[in-house]
Amino acid sequence: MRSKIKASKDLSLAVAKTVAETAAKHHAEIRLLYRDKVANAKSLMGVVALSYKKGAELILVAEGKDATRATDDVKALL
Amino acid sequence: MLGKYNRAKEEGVASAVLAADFASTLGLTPVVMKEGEELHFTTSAVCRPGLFLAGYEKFFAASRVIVFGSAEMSFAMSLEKAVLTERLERMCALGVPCIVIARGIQPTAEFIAAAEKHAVPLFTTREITGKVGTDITNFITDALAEEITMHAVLVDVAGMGVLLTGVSGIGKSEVALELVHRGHRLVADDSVIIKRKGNILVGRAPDMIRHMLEIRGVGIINVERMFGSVAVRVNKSVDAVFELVTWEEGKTYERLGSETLTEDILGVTLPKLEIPVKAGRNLFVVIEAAVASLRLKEMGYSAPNELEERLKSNK
Repeated sequence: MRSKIKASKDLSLAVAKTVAETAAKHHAEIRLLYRDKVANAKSLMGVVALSYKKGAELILVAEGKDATRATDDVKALL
Repeated sequence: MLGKYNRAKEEGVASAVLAADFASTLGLTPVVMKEGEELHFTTSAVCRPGLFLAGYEKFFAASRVIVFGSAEMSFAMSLEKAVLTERLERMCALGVPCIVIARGIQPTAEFIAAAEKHAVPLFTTREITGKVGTDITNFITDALAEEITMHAVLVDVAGMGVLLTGVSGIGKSEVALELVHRGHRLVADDSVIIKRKGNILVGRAPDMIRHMLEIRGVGIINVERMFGSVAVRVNKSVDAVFELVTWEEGKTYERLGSETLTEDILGVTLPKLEIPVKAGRNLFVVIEAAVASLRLKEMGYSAPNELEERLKSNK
């Protein structure tokens, strides 16, 4: 599952933390892409490394049995 | 299952090199260059344009960086100005990525005019021609090198670049911290950018999180601040993959150490070990032993072979 997201706020440590925590609750593997960077959404530092700003075009790729729910949950945080 | 490798390139992101970066890295002086101009390379080879200047255009490789040395410059100066202008303009019109003049020779007005007319960046350098060519080739090879980001930790363990992989929460960062404590060096935590250079892989951390480590229960720590500059390094070759796996009762793990698994990253085959994680097992000790064992193996020594020999000669 692949979806495009326009970031509604700057990436902060707090955002990265909730993203990693939420992603970790799902079985699905979740990747976040921004420009030439890729992060495992379950990894706090990985998400921080994306260092995007409000309005950035992100791509979320999720695969696994709960991919749809995982996508919705993570999407709501960005 | 998603692939273990996150290929940014697969998602259609292309990379170009800023002309200004190209110049500063190679120590070139820009003569013709627009601000923010990008160079697009498709090959790392350079071209000495002697034949082209003499009017022979067959097999001319317009995708290469053009390097003028003393010979080409002295030949160019021997040409009539109108002929030189025409040939330089032909060359630039073919879309060469850029032109570099070596040995501190200054371009004449014809060079500058042709470069400006077709918006081809023109540089000079005091270096000797052969060295400029090699430097440019190395620079472009590096710029064109394929790159991937892996969810892993990279530690320099006694000189061997060990890539620790395994699912989220298995304790990769904790092992990295133990290893740093033992005097080894952290390269990247959680996110490792790996580039292929020739037949070796080089890993580094994304700039934003360099030398930061997340330890569950403690939080984010700055390893360089905490343990000093000797506890970290900026990049390191990736020499082996150690995958941390959950210890499962009944599963068979490597007992003898005579077989080595391998893992392919960007087409380079690396030795791989599966290391089962179990409470009460000091992982850093296991990892240090695994590194020593791999090194002995590379040097031609095998403990299981020796044990086998001992069994055979036992009368």
